[in-house]
Amino acid sequence: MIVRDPGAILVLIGGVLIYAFFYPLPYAREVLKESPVAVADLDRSQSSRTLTRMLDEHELLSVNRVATAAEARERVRDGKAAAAVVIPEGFARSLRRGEALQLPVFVDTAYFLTYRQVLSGVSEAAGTFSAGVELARGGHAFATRSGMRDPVQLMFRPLFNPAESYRQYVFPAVLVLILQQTMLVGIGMLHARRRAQSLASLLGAALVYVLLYAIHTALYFGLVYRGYGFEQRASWLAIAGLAAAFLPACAFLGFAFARLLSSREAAIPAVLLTSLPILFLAGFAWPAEAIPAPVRALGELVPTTHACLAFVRITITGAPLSAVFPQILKLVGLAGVYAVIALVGAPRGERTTEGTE
Amino acid sequence: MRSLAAALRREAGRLVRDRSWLAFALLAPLVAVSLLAAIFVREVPQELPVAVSDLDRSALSKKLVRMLDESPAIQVVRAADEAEAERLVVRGEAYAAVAIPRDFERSLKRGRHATVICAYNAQMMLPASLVRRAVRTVVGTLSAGVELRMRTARGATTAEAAARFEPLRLDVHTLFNPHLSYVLFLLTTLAAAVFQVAIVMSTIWTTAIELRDGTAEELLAVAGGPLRAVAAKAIPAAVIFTAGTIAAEAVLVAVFRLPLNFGLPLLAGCAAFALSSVAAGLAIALVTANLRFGLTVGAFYTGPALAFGGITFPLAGMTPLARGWSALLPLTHLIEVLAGALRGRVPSTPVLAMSAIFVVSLTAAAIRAPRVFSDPSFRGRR
Repeated sequence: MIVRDPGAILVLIGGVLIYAFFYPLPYAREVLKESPVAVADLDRSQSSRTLTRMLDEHELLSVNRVATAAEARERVRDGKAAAAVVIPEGFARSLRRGEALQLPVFVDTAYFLTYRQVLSGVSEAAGTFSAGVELARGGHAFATRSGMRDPVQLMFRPLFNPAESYRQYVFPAVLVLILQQTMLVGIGMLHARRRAQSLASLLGAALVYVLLYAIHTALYFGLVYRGYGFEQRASWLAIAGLAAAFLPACAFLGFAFARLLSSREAAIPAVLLTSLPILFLAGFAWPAEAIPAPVRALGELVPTTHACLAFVRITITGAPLSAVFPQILKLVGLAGVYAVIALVGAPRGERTTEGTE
Repeated sequence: MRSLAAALRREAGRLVRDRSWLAFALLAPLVAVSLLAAIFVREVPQELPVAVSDLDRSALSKKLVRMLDESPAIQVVRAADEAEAERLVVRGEAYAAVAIPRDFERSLKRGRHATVICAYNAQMMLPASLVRRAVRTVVGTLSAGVELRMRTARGATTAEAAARFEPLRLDVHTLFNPHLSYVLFLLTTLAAAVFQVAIVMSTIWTTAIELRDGTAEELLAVAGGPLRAVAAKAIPAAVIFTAGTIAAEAVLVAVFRLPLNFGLPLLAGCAAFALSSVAAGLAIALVTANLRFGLTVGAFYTGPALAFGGITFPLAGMTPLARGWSALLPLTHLIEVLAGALRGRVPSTPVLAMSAIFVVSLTAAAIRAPRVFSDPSFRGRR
């Protein structure tokens, strides 16, 4: 049935492959660098020029020198700079006198990642400058005078995505979403308004999709992961175990969903319109802890809500399969529920798989 | 009667009776945006699990653990040691592992440094950065308290002790929405992404379905010409979706009290967005001249649009190829308008870009329309 339908092939095979290449294109550079910062140097001293240079040399920042503080803030308001830094008049003099200095920084908050990178870059550059000043004053850069400054030190150690690649943050989970959504469209297109005649025929049909998508799963966690440089720490047995729960859940959901569709073409917009809410319910872009309980409960009905993070945990984080047993159980439960819904008595106007298209 | 008015009446009648169209164009976007609003309504994630291993078990270390737990962003999960804490992070049961070393209190009492290590799950970028900020704040507060006590103990006056010496400190001002949590602004752009899908897909649907069902001849007859047929498809969609986009964004701004200036520039942006999206849908429908294939192309165009839209990963960070594709999406330009509205200055280039998309798409549709509507070979194709 699949083989005879070019539209279905386009989605079930073409779509899976094409989206794997197309979707992450915006994140190809992975990390946001060289964000524009407008610097107004009102002091024009050696020190202020050094500070400006340090800001520019930081990989996350790219300095545009402007004449006045007002001009710097205008650039931010126009969206041309992510932040405005104003080096006040008397900067060098205050430094010489050993006074503590405040450096005004005005940050645009419209784009979250930009805000984060700019703040990070400016903090680090200012910190380096600060340490240099202290060294010049004969103090220790990280003041260990009798442990008096910052007695409690804090050290951060990044795990699993040390480069903080935005692509690695988002895309592994999106791959799982692509698997689910394309399968739903494919099954929807081929089985719209139809009901399987028996459990046997439903299982048989579902098996075809599960096997096809088992191949896609292997492709995704093998080739695609390697192509994008994602660490793949799970054994193939673990991936198979999780997929064995996830794929049937998607397939049966597909058959259940197909019954609601008015026509085969309707599958495409119907599934597409669910994608954004489903993405944010999956717990990687927005933590599940922050989602109100009733909405979370709704999300539990969708396979990707359990599977996205489960796959990320076993592959990238290297969690053992036992860590995702709860998710596996829930997926098996969903598979059962949707299989029942897919089989339950035929409402009027519905054709069975025996009927001809 | 052959006229545009007759064709419009016919189209209106079709739309209200087409349950699929009503679902795609009206119901689904309403549900999707409401769901997204409900997902983000709490604004700031709280009580994120953090595994803490306290190897010191002193009064001071216990105080640190308590302070961490009291932080609204953090929920402490106690671990026996560092290994177990990290195991919890690996299993996804905690976003970070904080380790308090064995000689914590003793080192500090002797005037030496003590280092707390926070291993965080950098794969979960957003929750990890929230946790890091909270941990930094708590440790900083504890450190300042320890330092103050130490200095006063050594005979420094409270004032001297309280003056921390650091040559250069940043005085950060967040512009444009100091009291707003970011996700509520993000919601306006997510709603736009939902509308991008809904408008394009439902326009392709209502146009190309006449081909599938073989009713294009009737459409042509009633309208009295291919261009009027295109207009009959475009006008109702344009009116409904312009009103819908403006209304939805206005509701979001009002309900969440967003500091967005809902003036003429933003209105113009919403209208340009709706119109260019309708035109794009028409172009896709008529160029592909096939409902299924048209919807597939529409899905390719609008599905990943949010990623290309530049609100998550900014345009400045994209490769030229990705930026080029972004420019073809009305969503990208509406996002620029929304960001501009947040800043209080809406740029004019986005509306121009959307107008260009509108003109090019409509032209393509107009060129294809005569042949597609009248040629019987385009009918009934699945």
